[in-house]
Amino acid sequence: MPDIINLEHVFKRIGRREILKDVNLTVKQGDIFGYLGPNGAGKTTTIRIILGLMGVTSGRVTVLGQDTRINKVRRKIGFVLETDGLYDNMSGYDNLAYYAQLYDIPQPRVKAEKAVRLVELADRAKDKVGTYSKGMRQRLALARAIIPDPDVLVLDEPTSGVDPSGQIEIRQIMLNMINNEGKTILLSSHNLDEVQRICNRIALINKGQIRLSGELEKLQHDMSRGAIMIQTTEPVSDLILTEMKNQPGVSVRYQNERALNLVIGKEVGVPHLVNLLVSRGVGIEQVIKQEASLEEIYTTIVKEAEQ
Amino acid sequence: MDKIWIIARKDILEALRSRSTYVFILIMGALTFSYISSYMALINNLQRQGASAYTIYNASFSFLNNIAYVLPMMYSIFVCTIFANYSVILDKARRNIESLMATPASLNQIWLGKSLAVTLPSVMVGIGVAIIAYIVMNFGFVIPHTHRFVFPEVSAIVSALILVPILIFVIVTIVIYVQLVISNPRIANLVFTVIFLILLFGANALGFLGIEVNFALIYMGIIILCSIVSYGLSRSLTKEKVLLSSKG
Repeated sequence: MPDIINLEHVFKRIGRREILKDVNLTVKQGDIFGYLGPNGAGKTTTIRIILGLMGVTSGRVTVLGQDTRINKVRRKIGFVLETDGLYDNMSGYDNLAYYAQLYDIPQPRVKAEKAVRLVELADRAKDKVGTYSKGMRQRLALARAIIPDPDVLVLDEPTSGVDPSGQIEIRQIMLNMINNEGKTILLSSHNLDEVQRICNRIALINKGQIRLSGELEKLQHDMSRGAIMIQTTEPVSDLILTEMKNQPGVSVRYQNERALNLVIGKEVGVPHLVNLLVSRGVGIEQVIKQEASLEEIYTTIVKEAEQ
Repeated sequence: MDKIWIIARKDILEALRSRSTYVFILIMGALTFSYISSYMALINNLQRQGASAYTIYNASFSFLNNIAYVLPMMYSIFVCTIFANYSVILDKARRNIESLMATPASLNQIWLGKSLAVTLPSVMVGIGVAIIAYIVMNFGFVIPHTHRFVFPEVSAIVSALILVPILIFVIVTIVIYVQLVISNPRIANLVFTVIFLILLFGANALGFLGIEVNFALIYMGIIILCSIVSYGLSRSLTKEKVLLSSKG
């Protein structure tokens, strides 16, 4: 698949602050690429650079093979930014028509009508945007993003502040864009559950550096290496737990009454631990290989960076 | 040009919804009344001195000619202070400017569009009110003394209809530039207030001192100067500057 968004060794300094440090990022055609990171990590700056709103201190950025500071390239990019950019005194329909004109779209009003139908806002399209709920505003912003029929969508927290049913609707629209129209999406989000549900690839940025990047499934698999849960027939005593912890390469992530969640290294095998528990009179119900959730991956990486 | 007009039209429609435009028109009416008072004082003085009809006509012509130069400029600048509160200031406060800059519109198109959005309604209202004020002064106060309508010089008409709109536009481009790059864009509006005060008191002072100035030439000089400044500024305007000076 060809690269749609490409950042190579991007550094960005604003005043004395280094916002991005050697960021490398590739979004391929057909990706829903989740871009994660805590507040102030550099996500919004990256998005601004991708949209041509900011320059880089050094490095190279291309979208669809071209520099986004070229105005024509931005015709192929739809966006939803942190603030929706909608005009409260104008109707939803007029907002879309206005932006459609800026994209040189022939028959902007016809296109605006189609877009409001797509995001299911047709019945409120003639109302002023100032009267819309947050969810409706975000749906309208998404409609604006798809109006120019872009090849790539750059979405900065599109479901932020939206109620759960609104989130589901927005997710469905994004999935339709990918599955039915072959678009590419870069999705910056704090909503890990959302990213896990719809993204195929992710990157995690913290303190201006990409800490992790790749296919979500592979990352989950890699990060789960050695994670197991042992369910027991009776509670494990503190004494046995201490003995388990003293085994080389074993760490206890958490424990509850009848389950031990462990990460084990290469030094010791699962059978050895099972035998140890059985020899101490603990019955084993089952041993489950655990898959790391995105939340666990995120927390681990962010904590590592903090240290 | 298309995008410049699209941006300008949207901002003009938004600004025209404001009630302050109509309040400002009333204030301009009050200002006109102060000129009428000055004219009446001048005529009464001449009549007390037993001036001939010819002298009164000449004095009226001179007074109204100056008005024809000054009022369109002064009123247009005055209205600029309202319209300049929309477009950039609101867009930056709501951070809509970021979305606008992410569209295929270039920053120069946005800049010129926003400048036109301030210039066009200001000039239309300013010059419109100035023409009405001129006619009202003539019919209500001048004709009773001169017995005929006093027309200004052709150069004053050219100045009002051509030079003033151009001059307002180049001044507005500079103000809009400043609004785009500073974090408190309202401060830039002070430029309009300063120009307005200079015109208001300057024109009165010139009249009081009996100094004749060639307004058309002054306007042309300022147009050239502001155009050079504006061109220079256009080369230093970047989206990043606009973004970093916006809230948030």
